[in-house]
Amino acid sequence: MILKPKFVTQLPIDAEIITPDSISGKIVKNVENLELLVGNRKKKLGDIFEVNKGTEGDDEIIIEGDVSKVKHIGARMSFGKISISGDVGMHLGREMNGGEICIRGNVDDWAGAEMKKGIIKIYGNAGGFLGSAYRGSKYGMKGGTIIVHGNAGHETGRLMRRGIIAVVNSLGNFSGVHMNGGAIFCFGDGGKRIGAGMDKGTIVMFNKPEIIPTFKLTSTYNPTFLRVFLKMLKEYGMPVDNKHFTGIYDRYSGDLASLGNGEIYIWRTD
Amino acid sequence: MRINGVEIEDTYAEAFDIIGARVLITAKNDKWALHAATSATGLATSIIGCGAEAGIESLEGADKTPDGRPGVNILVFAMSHKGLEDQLIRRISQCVLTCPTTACFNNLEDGENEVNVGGKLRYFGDGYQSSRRIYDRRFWRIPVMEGEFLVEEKFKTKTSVGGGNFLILGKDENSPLEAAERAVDALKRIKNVVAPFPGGVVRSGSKIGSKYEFLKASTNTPYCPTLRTSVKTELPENVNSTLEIVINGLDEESIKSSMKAGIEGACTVEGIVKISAGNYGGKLGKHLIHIHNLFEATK
Repeated sequence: MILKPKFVTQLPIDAEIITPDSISGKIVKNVENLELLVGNRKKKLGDIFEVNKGTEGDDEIIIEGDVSKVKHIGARMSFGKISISGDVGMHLGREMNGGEICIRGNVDDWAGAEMKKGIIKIYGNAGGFLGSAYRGSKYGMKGGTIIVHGNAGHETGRLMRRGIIAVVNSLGNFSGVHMNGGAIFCFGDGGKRIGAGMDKGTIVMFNKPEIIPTFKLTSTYNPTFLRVFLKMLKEYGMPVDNKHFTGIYDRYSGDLASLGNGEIYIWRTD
Repeated sequence: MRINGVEIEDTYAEAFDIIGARVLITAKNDKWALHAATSATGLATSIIGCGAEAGIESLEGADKTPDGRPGVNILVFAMSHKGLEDQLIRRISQCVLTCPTTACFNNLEDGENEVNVGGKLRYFGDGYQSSRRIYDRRFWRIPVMEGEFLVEEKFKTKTSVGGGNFLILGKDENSPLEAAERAVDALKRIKNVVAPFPGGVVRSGSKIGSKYEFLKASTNTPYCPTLRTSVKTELPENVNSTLEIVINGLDEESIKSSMKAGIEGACTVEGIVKISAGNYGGKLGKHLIHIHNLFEATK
């Protein structure tokens, strides 16, 4: 199914129904009749998007154009694929449980928040709270993979429990804050206070970030498990080089002001 | 049937169902991966006395291993899933975990079942172990004095075939040994199989049962040259030595391919009189691999 936005609005559009779960197997007319919220008013999807039956399979949704005011695309999706050419609004792939979302553009805050399975590939920048927990939730992302080929915003991976976030460029401040598992990789610069308050989990930085004083250096070595991660990231098009496989990493343990079982690995360039 | 003038007896090798797993051991280099693999497949010739049958299957290039380091594939077989799990835990904990720089992965894609290996070995970490899930695979990191040992949680298993075999009957002691070496060299090129005995060769083939009630198997008297006048012998007059090649494989087709390659290799040696096979009258297993059938397609 191919969706093209008909006009630009400043009102937020709540489009939870744009998932393969809701659209797969439906004819165009039925898709057009699906309801979404524009501001606080119900509208038909066909009022907002031009809907065409594409040549792709039933399980794929293609969105062509700027949907930066459209929120919750792919929320709770469990299968299929959503491909978006253009910028996307908040909560993309929230709580998703399978399938793939691929964006050629920038993504607003809360993408992949509390996701459980599946993969989100962002060929642009991601906003804040990528893969994070919503306010009041115990855990953020519980599984799946988020690949960002640009920058990621503040508090990326906040309260993350499982899964993988990999960022080619920079990470925002407080990324990995209160992490409780999972892994964050950053090939660019890290923001301030990376991993603050983390209990468990792994952060891997390929440029040396500022390390807060409650992390302590435990050892310097070439961790085998990182090589398995790096092989996967290379398959996803991350800038993994042979020197990253064979390199030496400083392992910092922390946050000692919290449970302290988290770890930050920093690749040594010397 | 004759190959290079060697008589191929019209008989069958009797093989049995067994449960198999493929374990990939990686390390900093081939040397350390082989140290671990050799150790982990030690004392694993016969289920009867060892609890498992195992051997080194192949070397794996760094580009094909999960951690991008060189590795060695070993095949381990036992009579049940529980038995195999027990053997894998023992062998990996004592021979791979202990070996510097190694890591250990499942390398069987089409398994029918899974056994929990890393999930039990992790307790060696005394509470400091941690797991990482990559794709749909879970790995355990166990802190050790050298750094960390990485082991996959679940290893796949599949119903396999044990006891594929053939006998090489020669005029003297030397010719069957040389023929056996050539046979093993040939079958090593076949994927999915191992020959678990020393050098892939058995000099003490067994028959089922014994005059002693407490023994399940005893020396294969019909093929012992020194018993030629004491028992009903299977040896032609000019045969003075017999060696057996025993092969375990993840599937029957691989066993057949390796038997064919092995027999062809053995028949290139002068002094070989006959090729036969361990035939127990259907008492041992359900896989009856007729030797003549191996060569029918190429007749």
